[in-house]
Order: sequence, then C-alpha cells, then structure tokens
Amino acid sequence: MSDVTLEKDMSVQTFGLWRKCVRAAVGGLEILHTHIILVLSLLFILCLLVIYLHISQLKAQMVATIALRGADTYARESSDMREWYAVEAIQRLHILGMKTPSSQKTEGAIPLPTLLSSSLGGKLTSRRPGEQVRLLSEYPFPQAGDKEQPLDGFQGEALEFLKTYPEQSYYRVEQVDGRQALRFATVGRMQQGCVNCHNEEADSPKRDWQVGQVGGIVEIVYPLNSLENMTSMNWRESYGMIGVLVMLWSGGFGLVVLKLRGVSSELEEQVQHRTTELYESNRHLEMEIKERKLAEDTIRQARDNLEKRVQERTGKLAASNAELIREVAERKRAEDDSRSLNAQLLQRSAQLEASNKELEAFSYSVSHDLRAPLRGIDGFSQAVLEDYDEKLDDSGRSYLNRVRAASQRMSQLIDAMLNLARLTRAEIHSQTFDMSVIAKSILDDLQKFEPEREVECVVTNNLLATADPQLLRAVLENLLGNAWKFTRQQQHPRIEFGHGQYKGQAAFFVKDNGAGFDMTYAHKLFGAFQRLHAYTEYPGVGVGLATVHRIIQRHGGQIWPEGAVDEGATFYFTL
Amino acid sequence: MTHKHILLVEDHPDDEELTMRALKKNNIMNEVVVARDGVEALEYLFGTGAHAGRDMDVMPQIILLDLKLPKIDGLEVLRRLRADDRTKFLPVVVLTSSKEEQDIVKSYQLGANSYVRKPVDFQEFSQAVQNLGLYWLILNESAPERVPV
Repeated sequence: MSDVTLEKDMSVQTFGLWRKCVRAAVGGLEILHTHIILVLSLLFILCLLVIYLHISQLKAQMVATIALRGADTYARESSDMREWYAVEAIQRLHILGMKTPSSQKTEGAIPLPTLLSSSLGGKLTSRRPGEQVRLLSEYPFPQAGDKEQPLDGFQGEALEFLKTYPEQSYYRVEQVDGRQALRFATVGRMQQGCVNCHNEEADSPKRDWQVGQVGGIVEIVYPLNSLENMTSMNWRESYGMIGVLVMLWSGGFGLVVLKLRGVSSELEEQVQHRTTELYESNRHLEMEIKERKLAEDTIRQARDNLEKRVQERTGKLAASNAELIREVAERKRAEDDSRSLNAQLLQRSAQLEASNKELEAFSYSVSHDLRAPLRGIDGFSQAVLEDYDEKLDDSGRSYLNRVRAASQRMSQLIDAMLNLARLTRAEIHSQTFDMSVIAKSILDDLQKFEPEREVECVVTNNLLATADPQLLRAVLENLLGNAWKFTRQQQHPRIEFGHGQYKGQAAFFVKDNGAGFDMTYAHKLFGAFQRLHAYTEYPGVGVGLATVHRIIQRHGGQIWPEGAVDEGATFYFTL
Repeated sequence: MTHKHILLVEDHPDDEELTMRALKKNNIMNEVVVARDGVEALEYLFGTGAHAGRDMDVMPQIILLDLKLPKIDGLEVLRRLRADDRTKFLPVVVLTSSKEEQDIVKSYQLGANSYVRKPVDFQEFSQAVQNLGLYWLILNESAPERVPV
C-alpha cells in the first residue's frame, strides 16, 4: 500500500465530512427559512435576556463604584479633619497650657483626634443607618475607648495589606449587621501634630513616631441597600422605556410580519398563478413536442420512403442506363454498319452510274452500228432483186426477200431492245392523272388501226393514279395491245380495264377473254424476248411484258398474271 | 461543179453506195461530193487541207451529215460550220442510224435543219432520200451565198 492511496483515503474521508457539513448547513438554512419568525422571536428574547443581565451587572458595579467613591471621600475628609484638629486645635490648646486628656474619663479634657473623628463619624452616620466609621491602630492611646474591641477578619487583612501597600486602599462587599455593605479601608498617616503628642505623652505606647508613618487604618462601612433603593428608581424608568420600545418593536415586527404574510400570500398567489401558467405552457409545450415528434417521425418515415424510392429509382436508372449504353453501342454499330453500307451503296451507285454510262454507250452503239449492216443487207438484197431480176429464178428472188425480211425483223428487235433500255433509264416524273382516260384513248387507237374488229371494251371511269403518265401509258399500251392481239380469234372478244380487290389487295387490272396462257409458264411471261405463242400465230418481239414489268417495278409496284389456256388472261398491277 | 451540189458526209462505204443508189433511183442528178470523215468535210467547206484553193464561192446546196464519224464527229462539224459566217446558213440534214433522243436534241440545238433516221428497209430509205431531194434541192430556197457581214 502506497502513501498515495492513504492520502486518497484521507481526502475521501475529508470530502465525505465536508459533504455532511454542507448538507447539515443546507438543512439548517431550510429550517431557518421555514421558521424564520420563530427564530427571530427567540433571538429577540435572547437579546432581551442579555441586555437584562448586562444592566443588572452594570447596576451592581455602579452601586459599588458610588459606594467606593463615597467611602473614599469620607475617609479623606475624616483624615483631613483629624489633621486639622491635631494641628490647629490641640497645639493651640497646648500653647494655652491645656493638657490633652489621654483618657475620656478625665474631666474637662478635650477629646483626642481619634475619638473626635469616631464620635463625629458616629454622629454623622447616625442618620444613615448601617454606616460606620472606625479608626484602628496597633498602638492606641489608653484613653481611646475602642481598644478593647479586637480586630475582625477584614480589619486584620486590611491592616496587613495597607502596611505593605500604604498608597492603595483595601475594600470588599460583605454582610454587616444583616445588610449588604461595602467595607473600605485606607491608611491614616502620622502628621506633625500627631507625632508631637504621641512621642511626648507619658501614656503613649510608642514614642518614635515619624511624620508620614502609618499610624493606623480608617475603616468605613457603607451599606449598599440605600444606594440600591436610590438607583432602582432610575432603573425602573429605564426598564419601562425598554419595555415600551420592546412593545413598539414587537408591534412593528408584527406589522412587518403581517405585511410580509400578505406579500407572501400575494406572492404565493402569483407563484401559484405563474405555476398554473407554466404548467399550462408546459402542457402546451409537451403537446407541441409530441406533435413535433409526430411530425418528425412522419418526416423521417417520408424521408426513408423517399430514400427507398430514390434507391429504387437509382437502380432502375442504372439498369436503364446500362440498357441505354448497350443501345448506344448497338446504334453506333448500326450506324457504322449503315455508314459502311452507305459507302458500299455510294460505291455501288458509282458502279451503277458507270455501268449505266456503259449501257448508254452500248445502246448508242447498238442503235447506230448494228443497224448499219442490216441496212446494207436489206439495201443490197433489194439492189440484186432490182438490177439482176432477169438472172434470178423465183426461188432466188424468194430467198433474197427472206434475207430482207430477216434483216427488217432484226431491226425491230433492236428497236424494241433499245426501247426497253431507255425505259429502264428514264427518270420518273410522278403526277396524279386519270388512267381511265388514257386506257380509252389507247383502245380508240387500236380500234382505228383495225376498224373491222368488233371488241367489247369496258373501262371503269375515274381511276386515278400517281405515277409517271408517259411510262404508265406505255404499260397500258402493252397490256391493252396484248389483250387486243390475243382476242383476235375470239368470237366475242371482250377487254376490261378496272380496279378491284385481289386476295385482299387493291389492284388495277386488264382482263381479256382471249387465248390465255398456261400458268405453268407464268414466270416466263415477263422475261425479255420470251414468247408463249408462235410468231406466226401472234406476231411480236416479246419485250412488251418485260417493259411493263420493268416500269411497274420502277414505280415500286407489283404485277402478277392470272389465266388459263383459251380462258383469257388477267394482269393485276399495283403502283 | 454545179452550183446545186450535195455534200455527203458518210464514213461507211455501204451507206455511201446505198445513198448514191437511192439518189440515182430518184433521178436526183445533182453532183455529190463525199467527205469520209469530219476533218475532210471541214477542209472541203473551209477550203483548207486537201481542198485548199477550192472555189469558195461554190457551196453545197445541202449537206447530208452522218453523226458517227472518224476523227471529228458529225455534231462537232455542225457546231463549227454554224460558227462560221461562210457556212452558218448552209442547210444541214442529219442523216443517221441513231434514233437516240440526245442525238436528236443536240443536233437541233446546234442548228441542224432536219433530222432523218436511215430506215433499214431500203425502199423506205429510198423514199426518204427522194423526199429530201425534192424538198431541199427544189422546194427550199437557200440563203444568199454571199452573206453581207
């Protein structure tokens, strides 16, 4: 165990004690506070008691002091009177020859100073009962009447004390003759007059007296009761005044207390009122706090909800963001694809343009150069026929004519091919127009070309189309021309142009009741130079439907045939 | 060289022969000067090269101009002679195998007076030549040879 722990223990103890003290002080203060009036009253009574005791003591002291003064004064006066008597009276009497009687018994003798003093004292004090004056000496004259009385306790002690301390006085209070009295003693010194007598007189017990030597003592008994009676009057007045003051003070105190009580009750009322108010406001505050708490809870809940929703939303956003990123990447890839496709397209377009140009050059070349030899063949065959007619037989002439027919047919083929090529290249200038009008005009032309034929032509009016009118005219020329051509062997030929639904699709149609075709070969119908009939039966170069197909295609439309052998043909087309 | 002669600009000998035959068959006896390419045609018309020193007062009554020619083609020949005061009013008939639209349009733009496509059928060709001769050599009144500047 270290010193530190010990110190700590001590400090703990001290601290405990200190705390107890503080607690006690606080308790005392509390009691003081609650019984303030009682405490004040007790204190007041205590004060009165102290004042009373103090005054009693003061009274005793005062009586003693007055008595002392009176005794002292009397002793001094008595001494002065004796000396005066010894010097002035007795010496003069000595001079006159008169003897100083040493005894009282001597007739006509004048009294001794001591006796005079005693008797005078007795005379003087006779009016004041209890007061006594005595002169005491160790060596008294025999005439002195008092010498047979022995010294009592006080007197002996006083004599012994005053011999040692002659400058002082000796006194004490004691019972004398049944009453309280001050016993005072002082020295009586030998004066010149005294010394003269005491050293000369024959019956003097001692003859070596010196002036100033202590001859004896003077005792004065001073009763105190008269003094007390004298002063008690004043004390009664004082007590009366004090009593009045006390009563006044008590009245004031009572008033103050009453006033304080009133103030206190008022204060209490105010405090109660304030407490009620405080309680009310406290209740309000509590309610407010409760409401606040409720609101806070609601807010917290809302915030939590919001947070949850934000989190959810964030999650969704993240997901959609990822999706977006993916989409963007896809888009980018698609864009790249489309860019490369575009590049390819541009390249293809350039190629196409180049090949178009080539085709144009080819067409030009065909139109120009292929025809020239044909012209030569035909021209010179004709020249042979004309110039060498007589050298040719019928067979020779026939052959030459066939040469010419073949060359002319080839010329037709070339023209048809060029036409097809031109239609493929031609720009499309779309506008809305009435196809019915064009169809009628074409049929009229065909009728004019072969006026002998009777064909029933049915055209639906007001069939509008948005396309290139010239190209659509070519389409109708070919389709109606074919219908016209292939109904030639029909007894009641009928050609119809109209618009209707075919397998749920709206389409224009050209229908005839002519030769028809075998659907097995339908796919060959639109190929260039494809024919399903003998040339001799239905002449033609076989590019008509190819041309029609190309034009419909270039308009973004479709064309399809329907028919059967000898049951007519129908061509449907959309634009 | 008569005043009313024909300038035939034709590179193909067959076509030249057939044209001459057609003219003959239609009794068009006017003199025919043949130029076998564009350069020769221009030399003849402006009296330069092989035709330097030619009498420039004599100009053809009609020029039958093929388009597809060696060296300088028919359209260029047409452009040059329309650009020259001496030849700008000479009647020019484009006589060609082409039926191409662009050829027809360009020819007229450059100031051709007529555009005739040579038919393959000789009889038709002969007919066309006869019509041309009748029109350009007989009916048509040419511009004065000396054009006041």
